[in-house]
Amino acid sequence: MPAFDVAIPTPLRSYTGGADRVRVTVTAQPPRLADVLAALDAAHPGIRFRMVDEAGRMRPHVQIFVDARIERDPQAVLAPDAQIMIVGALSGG
Amino acid sequence: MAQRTGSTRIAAPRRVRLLVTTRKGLWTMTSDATRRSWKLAGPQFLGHIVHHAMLDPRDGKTLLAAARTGHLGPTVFRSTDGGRSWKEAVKPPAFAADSGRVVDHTFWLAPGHASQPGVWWAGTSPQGLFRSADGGATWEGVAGFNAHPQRKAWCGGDQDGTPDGPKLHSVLIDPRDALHMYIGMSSGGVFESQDGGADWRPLNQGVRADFQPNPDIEFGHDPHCVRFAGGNPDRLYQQNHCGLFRLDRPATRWQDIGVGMPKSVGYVGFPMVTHPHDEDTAWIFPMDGTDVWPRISPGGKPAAYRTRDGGKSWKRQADGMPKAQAWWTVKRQAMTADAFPTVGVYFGTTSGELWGSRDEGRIWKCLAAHLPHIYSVTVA
Repeated sequence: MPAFDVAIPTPLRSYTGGADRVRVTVTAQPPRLADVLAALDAAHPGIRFRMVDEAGRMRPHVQIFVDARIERDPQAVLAPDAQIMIVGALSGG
Repeated sequence: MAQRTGSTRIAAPRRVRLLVTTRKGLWTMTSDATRRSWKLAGPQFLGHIVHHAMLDPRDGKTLLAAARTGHLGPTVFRSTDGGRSWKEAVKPPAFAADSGRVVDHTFWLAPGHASQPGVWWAGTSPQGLFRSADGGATWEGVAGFNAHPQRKAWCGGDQDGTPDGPKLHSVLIDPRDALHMYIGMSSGGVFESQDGGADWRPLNQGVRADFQPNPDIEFGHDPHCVRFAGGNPDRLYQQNHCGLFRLDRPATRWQDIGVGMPKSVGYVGFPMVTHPHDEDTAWIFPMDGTDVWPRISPGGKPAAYRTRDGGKSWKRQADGMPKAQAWWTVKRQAMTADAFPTVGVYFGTTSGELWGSRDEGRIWKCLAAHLPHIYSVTVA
């Protein structure tokens, strides 16, 4: 089963016990970004809703980089060794 | 009949605690029964935008706080030990996935009826009504409102409304009947349910809507804050975008109670605070609603105004406040009263000052300064 390293930004580390990087395993084939977010939420309950709204869209000020490219489509298929980085984007004062 | 403190013996609480929510976290202010010496504590949720925090009066120890951050989506935090520790709701308020609607923030928290321990209600921006039956751990949308076929006609689109997003606020539960409720919406108006939220009808007759082509419309109004009169849930007071109004049920037409306000001050503001023991007494905090709507103290001279006759007349209460060059804004949830026999009144400004009066508004004192933008002040 593919596993992915996910970099966690400071605003979300209250969910990961302070960890700045976590590894999640997904079972879906092919693995999609949505599967990683679901696995992340299973391991760290509540984290997904802070990033993805109830309509399934990425929240405006959360960015996810997949292999250093911004990816806003949760259905994007991931390469087997994709590096995932969540970032709190600029959101004013 | 008014329950004036002179004719009804009311026990003084042993202490008073205020929950002060801000754009950057939650603070608490506590005092003993003298209400002369205050202690500020906090912050909790540093960096979170905390729109509202409320104590559950049914158990005296459960607190809920509605929060989000600039980056992250909206959630609700719960404490069952009076605020010492907090846990996030397992399922925060969120619209049905197939509705296409998205909760931007939970704006208003209201404990449910005394006969329904664990029940809480939440109003959101954009306008949505949610209910929890387990003390705020999980929340379900109230389909009777959120999926009502008239909802969009009542409220307009989710992008319409107030600058920080349209809101559902002023969730009022009739203390005599858990099924009888009122809500206020900016925009939308005041609505009433007789069946616990399964169905709703507009209740806006007599309220002006000067910003509408037809100012006498059935709905589409902009109430800023609606409160029950102290000791009389058949009386409602409303601070509206277009004035001050009072409704005495079973009547359905609101009475204009803004005519007694000085013309130089006007009748625009956000909060409405009612006296807990006297149905005829209420406080407002007027703001400039002229020209381009600055929404700050008229002329830079802040003051509360109090009525003791149900809104027929209003008295300026500004002793202790700056006399000039104080350009304050007080939001709709940022003014409240305690339940002492001689009521304490408190308000917070968007410039981060917390003010209080221990004598029903006669003399005011700055209790704290240098806080972030204050969103709400509630007694806990």
